[in-house]
Order: sequence, then structure tokens, then C-alpha cells
Amino acid sequence: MPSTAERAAQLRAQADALEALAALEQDLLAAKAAHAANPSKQTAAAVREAAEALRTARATARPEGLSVGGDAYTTKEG
Amino acid sequence: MAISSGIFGSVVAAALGTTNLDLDLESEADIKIALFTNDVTPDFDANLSNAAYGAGVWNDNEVSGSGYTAGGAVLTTTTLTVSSGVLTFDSADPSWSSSTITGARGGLIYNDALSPKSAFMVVDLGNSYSTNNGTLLIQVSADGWAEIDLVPS
Repeated sequence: MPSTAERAAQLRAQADALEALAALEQDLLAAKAAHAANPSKQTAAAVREAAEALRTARATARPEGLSVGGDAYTTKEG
Repeated sequence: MAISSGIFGSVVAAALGTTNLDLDLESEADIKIALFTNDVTPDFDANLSNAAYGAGVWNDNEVSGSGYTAGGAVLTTTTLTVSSGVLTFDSADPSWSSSTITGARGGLIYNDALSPKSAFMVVDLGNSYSTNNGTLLIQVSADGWAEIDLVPS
């Protein structure tokens, strides 16, 4: 069982990762909006660059395999 | 009958072919995921008319309940990227907060702005999930929603 300090460090790392993802999501949204307003090779390239950066971060931050969480619970299928 | 994961061939063909179907998987407004029970058996060979939300087998067995609007939720910060010959479709994790949902087993990902509302793929959640005034959160895999190997060995 991790100590309180270890648990705090884990939570800080998770928070940092989520903040980094949120920043990359904002970058992508801004790039898509710029491309919609002014379609060009440059704005298209910016969308690709932002998408690739976000994809790389998600691949690192997420676990393997899709899962369902929150408050959801499994139910027997009829 | 059971949900399974897959991609609709007719929709991909229409997007790549002469018809230029504007599937636009990177849209921030039009790509949605709708939840269905396990009473649906996807037909991934369905023609374009039936590979769509509200058509074919996707005209019935959508989940319902408070906190869930028919048609599902918009997928945000969608990405289509290519790395080492693999095309990956991804988005932020969709969720339904304060929801009471019964038996969500799969998600249909489709473009809500098209007519018909062409579906790209189905994702099998692995189990049937319910909520009782809580959040149903789908946590997308590190590999995204779907990967297509463009350079198979």
C-alpha cells in the first residue's frame, strides 16, 4: 500500500498529465478554428501538427484497451 | 444477437470514392456516439442507407433515460493521425453525467449532419453498463477508437 506521500505524488502526476492533455486539446481546437476561418496549406499543417501532438500525449496517458468508468456498473444482459 | 466492434465498409468506400461522402471524422460538432443495448447485431456489410444512425438495425434498441439524449453525445477534439503506416481515429473520452441508463453495451459513431446519418464504426463496450443518477464514462484506449493498418506486412 503506497504511503500518503507516494499517493500524493501519484495524484500530482495524474493532474499534470491531465493539464498537459487539456492544453493540447485547446491547441487543436484553436488550429481547427483557424483552418475553418482561413483554409490554407499552413493552417492545414497546423491542424495536423496539433492533432499529432495530442494523439501522442493520449497514447502515453491512457491505458491499453477501452474501459467504462465513472459511476457505471455492469448489468446482466437479458 | 450481440454488439461487436467494426467499421462500416460501405461508408469508408463512399468517403474515399466518387461520391465524396463528407464523413469528416475531425468535425468538432457533427461526430457523435450513440449508445445501444446488446439487442443489436451490427451488419458491417450493410449498404450506405442502412449503415447509419436511425436506419437499418440502428433504428431500434438505443438506450434511453434521464441524462441521455437520443442520438448520443458529440465526440470532441477528434483526431485522425498517421504514424508508422497506421491511421488512428481518436477523441476525448465521452461521458453522460447525472444519467440513469440501462444496459449500454455498444456505441455507434456516426456523422449527425449527413443524410442518412452515416456511421463510421461500432465499439463493443465488453459488458452492459448502467448508471443510476451517475456518470457513464467511456475511457478510450491508448490506441484510440480505431486503427487501420495502411501498410500491412
